[in-house]
Amino acid sequence: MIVFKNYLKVLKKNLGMFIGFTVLFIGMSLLYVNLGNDPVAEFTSSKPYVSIVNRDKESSLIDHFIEYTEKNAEIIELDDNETVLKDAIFYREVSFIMIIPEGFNDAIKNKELLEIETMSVPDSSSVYLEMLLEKYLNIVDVYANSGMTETEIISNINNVMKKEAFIVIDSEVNVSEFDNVAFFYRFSNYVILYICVYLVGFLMSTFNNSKIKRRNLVSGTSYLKINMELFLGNLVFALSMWLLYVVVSIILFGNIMFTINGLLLILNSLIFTIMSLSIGFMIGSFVRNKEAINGLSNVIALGFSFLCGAFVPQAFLGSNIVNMSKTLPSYYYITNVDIINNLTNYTINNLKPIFINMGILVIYTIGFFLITNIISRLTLKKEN
Amino acid sequence: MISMFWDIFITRLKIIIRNKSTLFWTFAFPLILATLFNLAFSNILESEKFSPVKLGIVNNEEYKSSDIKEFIEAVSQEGDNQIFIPTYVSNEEEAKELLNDNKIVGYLNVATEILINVKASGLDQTIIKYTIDSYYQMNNVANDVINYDLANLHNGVLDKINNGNYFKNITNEKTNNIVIFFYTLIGMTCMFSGFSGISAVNDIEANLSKKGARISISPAHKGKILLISLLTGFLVQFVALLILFFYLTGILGIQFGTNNLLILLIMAIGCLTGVCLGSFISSLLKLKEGHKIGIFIAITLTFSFLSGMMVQGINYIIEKNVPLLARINPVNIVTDALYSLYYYDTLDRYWFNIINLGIIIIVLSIISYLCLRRKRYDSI
Repeated sequence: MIVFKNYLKVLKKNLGMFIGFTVLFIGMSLLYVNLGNDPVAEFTSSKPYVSIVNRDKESSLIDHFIEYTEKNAEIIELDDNETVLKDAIFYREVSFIMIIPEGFNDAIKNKELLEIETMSVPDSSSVYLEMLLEKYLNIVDVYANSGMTETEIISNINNVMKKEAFIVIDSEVNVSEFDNVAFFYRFSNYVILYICVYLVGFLMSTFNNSKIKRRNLVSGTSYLKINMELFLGNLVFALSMWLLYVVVSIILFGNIMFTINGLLLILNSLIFTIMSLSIGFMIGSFVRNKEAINGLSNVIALGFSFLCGAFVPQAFLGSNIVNMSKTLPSYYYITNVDIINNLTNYTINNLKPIFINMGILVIYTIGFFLITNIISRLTLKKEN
Repeated sequence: MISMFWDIFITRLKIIIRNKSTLFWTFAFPLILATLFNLAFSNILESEKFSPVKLGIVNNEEYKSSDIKEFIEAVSQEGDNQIFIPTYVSNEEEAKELLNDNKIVGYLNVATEILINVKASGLDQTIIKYTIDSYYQMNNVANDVINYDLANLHNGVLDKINNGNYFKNITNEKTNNIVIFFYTLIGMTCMFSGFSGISAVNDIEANLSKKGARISISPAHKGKILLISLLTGFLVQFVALLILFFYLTGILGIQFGTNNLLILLIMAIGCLTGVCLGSFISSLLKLKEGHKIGIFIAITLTFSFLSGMMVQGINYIIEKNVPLLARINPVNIVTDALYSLYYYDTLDRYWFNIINLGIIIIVLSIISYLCLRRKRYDSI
């Protein structure tokens, strides 16, 4: 087990860097989970920040409109100044601004609704609010045109708005609570890939340095044994990284990790880690230059993550991109995370796709190992 | 004098160009990443086209004789205005099962007090609630209007229901937030010039490399060699940035502000900052080159992450809560400057960012200088 011990020695020597990277990525994951969750339009989500600038005189209708907005948003007061308003949008202090024009009230008395200028943040958490407000204004429009007075409009709107459909979120595993966990594990696609490819590649390139390699080959230990022990070393390393990541998720999310969904996620990530390890192993065996390894790991980790839906959810990617990304192993990992996220009924039919995807990941792993073996054998022959 | 400058310059340039793998990754990596971003985001703008929601409907007696039936059928018709894809079941248990298996997003049962059942809170569920709410509310509005004055049946008021645009969006952000990702990419690429900063310092320090030892005993002034090395590193990286910029604007069509000169200026200063950051790290830490590169990459990645490269909006949260962090993050400063050129009509914010980078460059250079100052080695 000398090679194995040696591997651990090399690992220990570079430990500072490895710990640094690990801490860095786990930090990123934590930030990502806490800050990256921006649900686009959820009726139970937190209220968006909104500002209403009234250029018309006060009136009970406008007051009522503002009250209605307040039920669905947090109102921030802003000065009626173009720079102030633009800044507020730029810095996302508000996601939506409405500017009620002068003469708005008078126009309503004439059965006309003047256009309200708006400014909004493009990614908007205020999309749903905008829909609600447009509906409100539509109702005002209809009532005004039917001949009602201002007071009548207000009291009728109050009655109408009471008519909301009774809706219930009904689930044993609270799917929304699990969203955060799924987020964390989706991001781990990037983390695990980067760590495995870069660090494993880094370590392996040390061993594959041709002088060292030749010395090893000349020794009495068989080539196969050397490779096996190196692989074992890599496995120990990758598995400790994986374990750390899982422990962090348990600390963060608690008992939810021990539900069937949680355990499936953990299993999924284990298989993915071993697959990433095989990629790192492969890269390390034929790329010598340390900077090239860095570049490659960035391209692979970021590329797979963006294209397969780790950062931008798969639902938002174009269909031809999704088709293209089916060639990448991350696609199957992330698809599994998505399925597990929504899983509440644990029937064979529902579990089958999850296990099929895991199987595909295993096939990728075997494939990468075979490629590594073939290529290293070819290079050996060449060097001989 | 000039010929010596030129000699060193050409030598350093050759060193950089001959290191083919660094060169490849300095030039190719940003382009690859830009292409990936573009692919990933190209559809976000089009996904405003929404896809209909799978709704389950308990087709009991109450439903068959309800008013809402006609409405649901109308909005389930195939075509551009389709909102729902309905699945009809005969009882609530079947609906629950479909919901659990994720075959539907929610189901409607007019016979119970709980009208709509869903499993989670999300965009599709919100659409169900909003559509059903609107149906009942607008029905109510129509009744109110007719009861108020029977003439309203004929004067076209009812046609106004659900028809009408009341908002006019005057924000000029046409391209969405997508541009920010590309701006962070430029910021990150600026930082890459730090790699040449690292190797430049390594190559002149006797205790860090053999080359450094040789250069230390040469008659050429160490400081001069360092400055020229940094200059060459900066120039090469700036060329890489120019290529990236043309790729982004010319081929991918990403929008930037209109003042190209100012854009080039911020990129140049960003590059300079990257070089200074690299030499700062290299002069401060006494480690092997491989480790320094590792640390530098980690720092650059962190800076990029905090500027919003992987997660939208992090830069705003930091600006709001920990503004100091935003001021010392060069990737963020470059991104912010580019965005302000794009978004604002005035240049205040832009110049603020330029000065910010200037201060960072001065601080980093001073510290590097203090660390690298004349060292005396024993003559044996």
